[in-house]
Amino acid sequence: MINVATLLSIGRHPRSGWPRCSPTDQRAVELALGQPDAKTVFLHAGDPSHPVLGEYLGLGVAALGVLVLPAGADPVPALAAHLRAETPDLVLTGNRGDGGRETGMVPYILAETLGLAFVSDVVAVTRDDGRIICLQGLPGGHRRRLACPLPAVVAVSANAPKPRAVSRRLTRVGRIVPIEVPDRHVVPDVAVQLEPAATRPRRLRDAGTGDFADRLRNITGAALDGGAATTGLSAEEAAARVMSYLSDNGCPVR
Amino acid sequence: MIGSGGTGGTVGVGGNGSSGGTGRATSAIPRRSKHQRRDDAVVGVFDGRRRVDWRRRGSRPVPPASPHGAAAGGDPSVAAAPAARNVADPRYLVAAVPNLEGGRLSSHDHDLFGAARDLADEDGGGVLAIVFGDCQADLALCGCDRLVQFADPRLAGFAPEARLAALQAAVAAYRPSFMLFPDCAAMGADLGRRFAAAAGMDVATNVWSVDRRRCVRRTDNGASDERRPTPPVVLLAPEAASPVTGVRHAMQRLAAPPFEVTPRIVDLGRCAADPALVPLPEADFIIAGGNGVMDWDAFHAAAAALGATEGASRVAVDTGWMPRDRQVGSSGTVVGARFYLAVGISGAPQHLQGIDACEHVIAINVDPNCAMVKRADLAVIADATEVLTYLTSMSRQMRAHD
Repeated sequence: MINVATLLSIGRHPRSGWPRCSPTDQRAVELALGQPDAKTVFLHAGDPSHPVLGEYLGLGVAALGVLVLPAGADPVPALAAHLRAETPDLVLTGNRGDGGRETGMVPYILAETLGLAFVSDVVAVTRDDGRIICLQGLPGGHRRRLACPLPAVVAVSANAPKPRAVSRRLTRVGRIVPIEVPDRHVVPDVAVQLEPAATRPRRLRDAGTGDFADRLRNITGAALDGGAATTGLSAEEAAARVMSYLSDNGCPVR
Repeated sequence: MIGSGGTGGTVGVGGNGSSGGTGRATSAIPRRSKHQRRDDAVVGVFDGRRRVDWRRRGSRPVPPASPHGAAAGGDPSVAAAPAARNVADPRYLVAAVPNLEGGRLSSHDHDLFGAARDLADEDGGGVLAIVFGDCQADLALCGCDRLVQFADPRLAGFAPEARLAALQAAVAAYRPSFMLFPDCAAMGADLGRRFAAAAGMDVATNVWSVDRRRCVRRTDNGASDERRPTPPVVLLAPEAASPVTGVRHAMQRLAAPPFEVTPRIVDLGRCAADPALVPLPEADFIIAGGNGVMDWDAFHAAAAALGATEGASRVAVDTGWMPRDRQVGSSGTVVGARFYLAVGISGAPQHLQGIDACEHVIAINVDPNCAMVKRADLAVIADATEVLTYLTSMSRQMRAHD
């Protein structure tokens, strides 16, 4: 029997800007609910009347504790104080926020403040007497197994299995439990200036010299080197050429 | 010069605010007159007139200002040695901690060193590379002035706690003013955040433009830019600066300080991912088939033998050879694989948009004039079915030898 605390945040849809469940947090809910023999609490820090919290309830969260904080307050001190008192064995969070500042620092600072082991980019968690085995999702679909002692903070990757659909019935069944937080000071942030995202300049390839067509082709994405088509090869030579190109550039051919 | 990554010879990110990447490669080199440059491009004399081929110069890096004056006017086929530069007494240090996955520098790592160089060159600083384990690349060519290389068995594999301890020891010993990490999931993003959290330092993540005073980071799901003072720890997005080219720095090795660590996380090793089940956006190596694939059994066999994830062009999906979720392109899935092997795909614009981010594109096609062949880094003109059969047998042989 272990105690699991899952931290949930509110995201923002990238196109419409509407508030939504953070996709990584939904996956964390899925991982938490899938843990056998575990007592799970779900926590959010912010406004207990936020409509998106109902969607988390619809994922199967029976009770969602909300540390009541004003808008703009730093959630980390309140969460850290609460978790220090509750002493869960496993803290699950999403890898980083969805919308907003998205620094991805919250799980790191929590783990550091609570002095817990920390694993990021996790797609699956299994238990193995007193420790957990985390499956870390790496770029390229690769996976790495890590053993981590409990208690630990685990940040769930966006590559984790997709969450279940929101059940409208469960949104009405679940409860939101406001938890009063003693100190709720708003931390003055560093002098940041927000503006609509500028179009990032595309990296240009070397235009080189030559006639206009050559330069245009170089800039707009034709190959820089070796791009010329190799004709007159037999199929075997062609395959050998491809294989040597792959291995020269460090391709993981199994 | 810096061969890997397909971005060699890059001119610049183009007007991204502060980091003026364009002039870097030539800043240490006095500009030669146009007459000298033309003399270099002369390929011969014909009918009593000199023939000038500018294209032969275009593929070469700018020759350095050699003290002996020997480099000018040499054989154009021989690449000139890069210019040498020595930052003897840097006023401050900018530490760059590359990912160095498998001892290789990724293009993201090259960009990281480019950004570090920009920060250092603002006011006579130096770049300090902090490297864990083996490094196959020559960091002196990436703009590094100092190198701390840890060779410790405790750092092997995924050892974030040991790396953090080593990093803290190096930072305590050499006191860099800025710490730069690549913000990518493999390692840098984790290590940089661990470092900032442990040190209680302010950090800026996903930064795409940086100078010593201000940096710009993309936030809010890509909808906003946050302009803020540059903190001591900066995690850089890809293409935040352009890589250093054409200059060799006199790199000094510094001693790797000792460090103590009691790791809690144990690396149990990588698991082999089944490439057939890897979702396309995550895949690292994709083999995609199009209308030119006549034998789909050979295609599937080659994909299995190479360990590549299967993709397809729209035509192959529409005709029912591949499922819809395997369609690559702007109307299907936009992929970011490092290796993209296009078999019998002519390269419709929508398809090429979908593979825009791919680092190495290989085309197998019978049409030497198709768009995919022009896009590809390696294009072989041959019959797809036969080549696929040979690819299958060759990769099986390779695996049998291992």
